[in-house]
Amino acid sequence: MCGILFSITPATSCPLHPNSTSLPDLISRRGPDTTSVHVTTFANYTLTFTSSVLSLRGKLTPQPLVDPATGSVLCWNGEAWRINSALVPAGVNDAEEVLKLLLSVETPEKGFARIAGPWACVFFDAVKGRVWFGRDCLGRRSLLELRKGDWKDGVTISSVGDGHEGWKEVEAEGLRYFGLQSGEEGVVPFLHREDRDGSQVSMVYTPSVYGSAGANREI
Amino acid sequence: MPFPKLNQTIEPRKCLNTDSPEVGKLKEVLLESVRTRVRDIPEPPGPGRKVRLAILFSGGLDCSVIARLAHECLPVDEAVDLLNVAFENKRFVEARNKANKASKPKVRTQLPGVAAPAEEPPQGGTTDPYSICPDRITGLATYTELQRVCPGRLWNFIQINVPYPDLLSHRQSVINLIHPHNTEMDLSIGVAFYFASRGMGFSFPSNQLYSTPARILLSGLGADELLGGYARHGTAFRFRSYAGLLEELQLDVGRLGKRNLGRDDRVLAHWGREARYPFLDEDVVAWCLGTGVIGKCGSSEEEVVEGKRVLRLLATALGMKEVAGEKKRAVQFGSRSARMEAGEKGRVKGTAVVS
Repeated sequence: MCGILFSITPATSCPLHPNSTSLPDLISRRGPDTTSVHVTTFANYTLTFTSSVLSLRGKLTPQPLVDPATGSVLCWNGEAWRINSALVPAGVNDAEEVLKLLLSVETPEKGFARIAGPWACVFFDAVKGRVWFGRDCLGRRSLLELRKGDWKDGVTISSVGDGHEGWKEVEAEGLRYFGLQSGEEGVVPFLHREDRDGSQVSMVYTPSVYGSAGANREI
Repeated sequence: MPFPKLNQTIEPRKCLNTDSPEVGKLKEVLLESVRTRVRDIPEPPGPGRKVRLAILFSGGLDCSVIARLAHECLPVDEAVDLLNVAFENKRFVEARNKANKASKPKVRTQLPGVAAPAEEPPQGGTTDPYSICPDRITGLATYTELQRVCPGRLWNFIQINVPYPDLLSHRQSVINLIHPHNTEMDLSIGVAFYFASRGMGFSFPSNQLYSTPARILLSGLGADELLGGYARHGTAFRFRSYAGLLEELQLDVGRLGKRNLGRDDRVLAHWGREARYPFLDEDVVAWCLGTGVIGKCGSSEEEVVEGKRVLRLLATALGMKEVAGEKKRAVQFGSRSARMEAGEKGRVKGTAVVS
């Protein structure tokens, strides 16, 4: 398994958990093979990505993965068994394939809909200035969120909490996002198209849960 | 992710037996799912040849079918670890000691050949707390059955025995890991997975201390929701026949993503291992949702109440007749990690918030 620890902090303030020493250690335990940190800034925010890796697919591939062309970043805790219905072959690292996929599609939710396998991830689309995060629709991997109110005042997203109060499970109901330029927050719900009659079917959620915040597009 | 709607058809005069197409089809999708999850597992780091795969193994139906199918996918000379957890539970030990006292000179109720762990030699008259755990008893029985139906395969049955003081010293870590889940039930499930994934125990039958090098753990989780394995499925059927059962299954389908997999992930991954769930493969889930209720749960009250009929028939078809009849047992009760303390404290409800 791999570990994800990501935070958004306004450039003017300190990270939300400056004194929590246990969190990086807990993340490293999940992925004992390597842990790396990538820090970047975008529109008055500091984005800190920490990823630990338990290397199981292809050669050891440290994360976070950064796309040199765009500056987009992926923290991937998952197993993409198939992408576009094709098996990801032996010896190929699935995280690299997922990043390629996400960079090639119009919007990330279209990419995630093509992945079969468990996942939780954080993806920063540096071109559009959006941070996407979520868990597969069966919730097979953990992802927690910690914030004191508005995400713009600071938010931490992590595979595991440190036991302190305030952590919430990121619901496996859709793909969440923060717009770093627009200041908006939303969710693209997971919807499933019934093969036969073409009517929309929801697996796990009521769209109105996040109704006001998010667009209701279909995955 | 093309999950179909839950199939609501109740086919008249439909029967489910070993020759039914559903049994073959379930084998096909489940085998493919297991194959995907066990192929190309890299050798764990360090010198020498190492075990690459372990199974969270209670000896129950779900994990045993997964183990049996893994046998089909792996080279026969590759050993597989079966991780079986048992807790020292004061309530049961006290009850057993009382019973033993009352009926002296009763022989210790222990399976033949099951020795107590090396560090705790059995004392005359006292009960080995681990050998009386339901999951240990079932686990050893199914281990024997697996050895019989999978000739050539080395299965390492690992007795993960958790003394009460060990539980206490790790309790706070587990509470932190399961957070924001915080009930007694979350904790009792959490500690069972925590110690299972730690992977330290005693090999059977040598009782040598052993730590699994495997970084991949297979789990049978998901079968109960998809194939109707909980007692409430049987209850719903008794009262309202297939309409009731379908309603209950529909609830499970709707809750799949809200199930406690995040909690389990946090606890299991803590030891640098990865749990994989063959029943929660996209194709397996889609097959379960798209198959008619009789094709999954059977055509008589007896079959439906027993639960997961199609999986039991698959176990039978795979040569595992004994495991095909195993009853559903939640991990926290099978491993005796729930209600650990003697007296009043042991009677606390599962829904109570951990104090």
